[in-house]
Amino acid sequence: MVYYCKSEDMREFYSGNEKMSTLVNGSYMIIKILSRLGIKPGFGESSVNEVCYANSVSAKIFLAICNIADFNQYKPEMDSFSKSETADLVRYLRLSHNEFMNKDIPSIELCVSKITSSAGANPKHSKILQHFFEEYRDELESHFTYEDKTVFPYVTGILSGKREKGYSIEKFEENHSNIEAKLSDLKNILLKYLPAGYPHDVVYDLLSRLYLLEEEFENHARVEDFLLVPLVAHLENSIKSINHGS
Amino acid sequence: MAVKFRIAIIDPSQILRAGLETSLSQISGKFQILWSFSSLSHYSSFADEIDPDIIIVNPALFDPSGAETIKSILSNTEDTRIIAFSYTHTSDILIRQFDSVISIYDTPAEIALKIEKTAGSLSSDSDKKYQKQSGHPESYDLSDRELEVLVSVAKGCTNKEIAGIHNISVHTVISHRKNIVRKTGIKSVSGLTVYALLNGLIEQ
Ligand SMILES: [Fe+2]
Ligand SMILES: [Fe+2]
Repeated sequence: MVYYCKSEDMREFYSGNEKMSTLVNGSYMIIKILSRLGIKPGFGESSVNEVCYANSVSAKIFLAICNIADFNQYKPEMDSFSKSETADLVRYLRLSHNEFMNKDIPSIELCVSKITSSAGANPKHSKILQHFFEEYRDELESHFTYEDKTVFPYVTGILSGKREKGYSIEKFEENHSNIEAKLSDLKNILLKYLPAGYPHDVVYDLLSRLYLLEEEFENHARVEDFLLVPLVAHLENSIKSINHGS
Repeated sequence: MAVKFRIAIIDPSQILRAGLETSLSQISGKFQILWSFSSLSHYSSFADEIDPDIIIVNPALFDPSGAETIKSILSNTEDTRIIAFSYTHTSDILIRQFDSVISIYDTPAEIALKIEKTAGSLSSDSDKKYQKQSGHPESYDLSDRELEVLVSVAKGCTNKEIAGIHNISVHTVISHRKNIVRKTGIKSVSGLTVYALLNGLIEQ
């Protein structure tokens, strides 16, 4: 049986031999990945491998994150990642959470309060919007806290050879909730249904932030689902087989 | 404006699917064949994930008595145009349910013309909708029934409860909810509640 979707760009995945500057020129969302991994700008004509090496970052992890973000068909090879690379990935995800909650969400919050406290605002409507946003912010907070406090420590444990009883990465995968749906709802409410009288420059500023963050959230979830989960599942299996062998 | 029409093909023959696809892509850049299925059940398993503008389907896959309507079997939204791709005789009762019919003996240009015509009725329909919307901005294009269901959703009712209140089947409730999400772009219950509050459909 055939099922295919041709809307996908069929180009090849990113490779370590490409020029880093070419990669970024083709997909500017990669800037965020570079920044979180602590890779310094000023690439010159260096390749991805060279830049990563110079910054002591695993090129494999960097490329896997970029490929997952930009190609739906990309499937990382589990065998080829070392434990320290998995630890780098966890660090990357933690940094992302931190950036979302301490940088992106506060700037969005500021826009929301500018809108709801503007001169033309209807206090009833403002309250509704404020409440929706606060509810969403709390949901995000608990999503990230659960991963920071439960999932990542479990992974770190696995990396040092200890497997916590009663938990598995499969459990995380099953309950991993969607964090971008409500963001997209907020976007549509502002775009389509916000009554007149609100400062449109702030509304547009907020909208562009929401579009960007939605894309970030989608990529973030894909890295968790399609890189972290299979990597950890692979490690879990290898621990199991060691225990069996002894 | 360069509007592209997103097309799904359902036909058991791989060779025919491939042939139609090649002919269409050569003749006009307007057609994008994004999905290709070998059977109705194959299509159904993906139906929720795809949103074609046009479905081209072999009518021989349906019951010739036309007892169950094609639209209900394909369970697509009202905006999707359904074109029969026939190579044997098809009963009148069945063929009437299609928006258009193309035949294996048509030339590629004829096929493209027919699809374009059918697709054309698609864009003029949405123009009409746009006019309706600007005439009655308060309704935002949701039907009265959809607005009723939306209010119940915003009040926190389950699908079963909504079905009971409005005396409709759970299946119908689900289909109304799908349409509400598609039209508003709002998926979460709390998002729909905001919509209902902003539009004065419910009070806080
Ligand atoms: Fe996360
Ligand atoms: Fe997550």
